[in-house]
Amino acid sequence: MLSKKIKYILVGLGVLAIGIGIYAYKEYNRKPSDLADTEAVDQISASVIINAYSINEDDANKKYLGKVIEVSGTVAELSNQQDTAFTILLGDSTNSSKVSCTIDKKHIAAAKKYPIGKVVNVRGICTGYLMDVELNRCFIME
Amino acid sequence: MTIKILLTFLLTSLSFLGNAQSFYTKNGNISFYSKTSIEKIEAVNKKALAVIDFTKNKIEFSVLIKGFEFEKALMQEHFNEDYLESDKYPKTVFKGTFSEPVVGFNMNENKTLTLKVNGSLTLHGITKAVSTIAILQVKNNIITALSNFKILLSDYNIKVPAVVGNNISKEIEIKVNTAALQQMK
Repeated sequence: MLSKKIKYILVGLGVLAIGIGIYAYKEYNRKPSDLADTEAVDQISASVIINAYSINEDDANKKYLGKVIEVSGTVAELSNQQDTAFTILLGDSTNSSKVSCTIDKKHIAAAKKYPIGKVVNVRGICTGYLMDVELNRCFIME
Repeated sequence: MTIKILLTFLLTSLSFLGNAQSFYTKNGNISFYSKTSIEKIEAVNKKALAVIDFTKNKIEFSVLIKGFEFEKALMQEHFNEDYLESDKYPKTVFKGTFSEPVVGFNMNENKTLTLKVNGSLTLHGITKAVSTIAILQVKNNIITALSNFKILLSDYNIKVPAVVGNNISKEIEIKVNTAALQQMK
């Protein structure tokens, strides 16, 4: 016959194991977060971040790469790629580089109402620089 | 002065001729797959920069590592932080040449070209030779570039911890499906 103390310990361990199991399962199946619910670490204008990247990509990466940031700028171009992705490019005609904001699937319908020429604030994760400064999983803030 | 104008004119027209055979897209599609009996992992990047230059016989891709999207957040985090170290190595670049030059490429003619490409892939700070077959389809003035090839994680010093060693394939399949290449102006 087990003593009461040992019984409590076993039940406690069982509950703990189930708790860990549930946590591990949830963690394993976790989806990338919606940036609409994530705070940005920096706010910056499209022209400033484009300049920062064109002057020194490594320095700009140290500041922005992988960070959630809010970029304000004028919608210069809209690009719909085979209906699988929707991109809004922020910038102006003085610079061929833009901030290329790939809109999160959940926010595409809402993002489509912003026409070229409109000034918007976009929250996204900076993934680096190719021809444009790239922002991913974007959400247009009202 | 006249020589200068003539030279400028010549250079401009030469570069124009050269550019006429260059195509690019900023929305290239690159995905990769790892299949083991335990787990199937795939990720896609829809923002690859691709440039094909028939004059120079070249094909180039630049892809941002942080732009790869996974279904599961945890996989994406491990991929960036532990395996590919994307803060340190934010880009992967493929530079290749066609084994035979493509002469007289015409956008207005619907056809499919199968080309051998030899090049180098820089990933995780390591550059290795890669050879593959690329298929270029021209249809209604739209070029699509397709290719499949495999790489070994060990070639690029990508270390997977033993605890998930059976979940991740040692060999990764890479698929390129890049549509709507535009002519460079």
